[in-house]
Amino acid sequence: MRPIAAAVTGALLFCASLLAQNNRSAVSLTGNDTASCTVPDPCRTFDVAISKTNAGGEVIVLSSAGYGPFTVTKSISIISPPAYHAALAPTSGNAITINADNALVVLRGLTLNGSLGGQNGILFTGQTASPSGTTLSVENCVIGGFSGNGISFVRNGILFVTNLIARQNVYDAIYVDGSPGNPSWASIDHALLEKSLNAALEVQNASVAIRDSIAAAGYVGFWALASGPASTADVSVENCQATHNTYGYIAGNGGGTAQLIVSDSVAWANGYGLFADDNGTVRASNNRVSRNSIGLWQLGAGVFRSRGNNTVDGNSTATSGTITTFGPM
Amino acid sequence: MSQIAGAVVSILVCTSVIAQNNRSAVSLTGNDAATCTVPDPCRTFDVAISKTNAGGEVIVLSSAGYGPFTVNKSISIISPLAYHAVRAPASGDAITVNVDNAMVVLRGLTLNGSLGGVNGITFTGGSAASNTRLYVENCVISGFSGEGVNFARNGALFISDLVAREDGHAIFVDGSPGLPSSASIDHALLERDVYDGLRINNATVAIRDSVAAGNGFVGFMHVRMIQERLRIFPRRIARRPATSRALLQAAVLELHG
Repeated sequence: MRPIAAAVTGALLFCASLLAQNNRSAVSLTGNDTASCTVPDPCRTFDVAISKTNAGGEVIVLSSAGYGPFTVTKSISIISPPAYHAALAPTSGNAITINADNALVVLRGLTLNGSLGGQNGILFTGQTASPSGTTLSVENCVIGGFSGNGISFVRNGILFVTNLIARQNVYDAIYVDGSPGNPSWASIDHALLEKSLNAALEVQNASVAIRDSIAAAGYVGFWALASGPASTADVSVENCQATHNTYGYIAGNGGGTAQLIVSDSVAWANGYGLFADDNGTVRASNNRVSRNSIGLWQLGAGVFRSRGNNTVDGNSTATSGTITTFGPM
Repeated sequence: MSQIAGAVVSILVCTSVIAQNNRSAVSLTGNDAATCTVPDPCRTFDVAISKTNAGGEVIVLSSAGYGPFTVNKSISIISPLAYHAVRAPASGDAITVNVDNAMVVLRGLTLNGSLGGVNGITFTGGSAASNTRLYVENCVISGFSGEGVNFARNGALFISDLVAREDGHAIFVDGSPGLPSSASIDHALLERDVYDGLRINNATVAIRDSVAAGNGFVGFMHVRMIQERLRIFPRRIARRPATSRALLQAAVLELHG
């Protein structure tokens, strides 16, 4: 009996030491991935530091350096203080991949450079047909130069973004998707979405609110798309600015149901200001729409509702299609 | 065969000569003979840029002056908030951007022109379309006799969180007739410039959440742009010379809100 107990106890202790992980891990330029990844004994890459961190724990940056692409499979916070430049500059693939259900993931203070060949800045992926229960917070990050999307949130979940600069990503700056019946949610505040070749914000199967943000010099500024027949896109844009895009704000253009509210915002110097395309409804209130080829545009089965307090002036064509005005309650 | 081996060796030598960093670094204690990597940083931006691949980045590791530089490829020059990365030229421009088809990022830099600098940032080159995008973020540009940001050829300019004080013009955006530049400016303080806060020619510019205060002539000049939530100080405009007042009247103004 005694040898058995000793063996079991020893085995348990051995396993426990193998599994021992940190609540707080750290990375540093001078770290080493064979280290314990604690603050006094930091590792060199995010991926290894994450593997040595408990779910719900955090990985913090101790010096400016590149820390390599990584994948998140559990609740975790990756935090770089403002003092340091913590970069991920992949030459292929994604900078950050998140594939976790029922997790809380925080990315704070990171710079993602895709100009050397990276595909997506942040990719949230996984089993797309079921709810994920995962929440992703992206705070104080810069994401530039990726050939795909800056943030590619392509399965059901909840996304929070604040103080983002997403510049010159070839597809979308932010793409929020879910699945029919399992829409994602997103809340976006203070995002500069600059020179995206497709859209600054593209929404499908999702309900997204964005405010105090800029979409500049892309193809579409703010786009509630809903491409598939069963898909829905519900977007609120408040106090935002769309300039130098081919399209400033669009609802529709897909086979689903797209609803876009635009309030207290600006559409200036776009090809088209606010556009209700097929299957899309635009509700516009207190906006300034100027110097576009067409200011307010309704096409096909689209619905355009204008509260009547929009300033639409100085466009080549003020309105096109059926613009339904409505008054204050 | 030996000739082939010799050729291989020379190719290898060339490769090692050309070898560059995806991420370079500069530091007060760096040396321009170094490799300019983060563990072995250089001393000046100009040398660090020359050792960096197109699309790469140069980061600042300590507070110091890193010298004027010229950008001729896609690159990001980044100083984290902890450090004061300064360029204080005694003459000429602090930063010159002269490149086509490039993405250039300048982030967290302080440009001091009070020692004799002409322009803070100059974007220059031929009169053809450049397809170059310049991003100026979290920068301070002060005391230049010319322009703070002198965007003087066709391209796309994006500015956020800028302080431009006591320059000739804080921001000048130009292109060429038929090839206008575009700019999007957010949270810019344009303070006490000798002439105009924002001056525009051959360009379309959107600016928001910004302040033009105490400028010698006009806060926002030749304003073919929107002005949203701007605070203009009319007293200063009223004080400007008659010639400038006439110019303003001739300008295309689209004032909303």
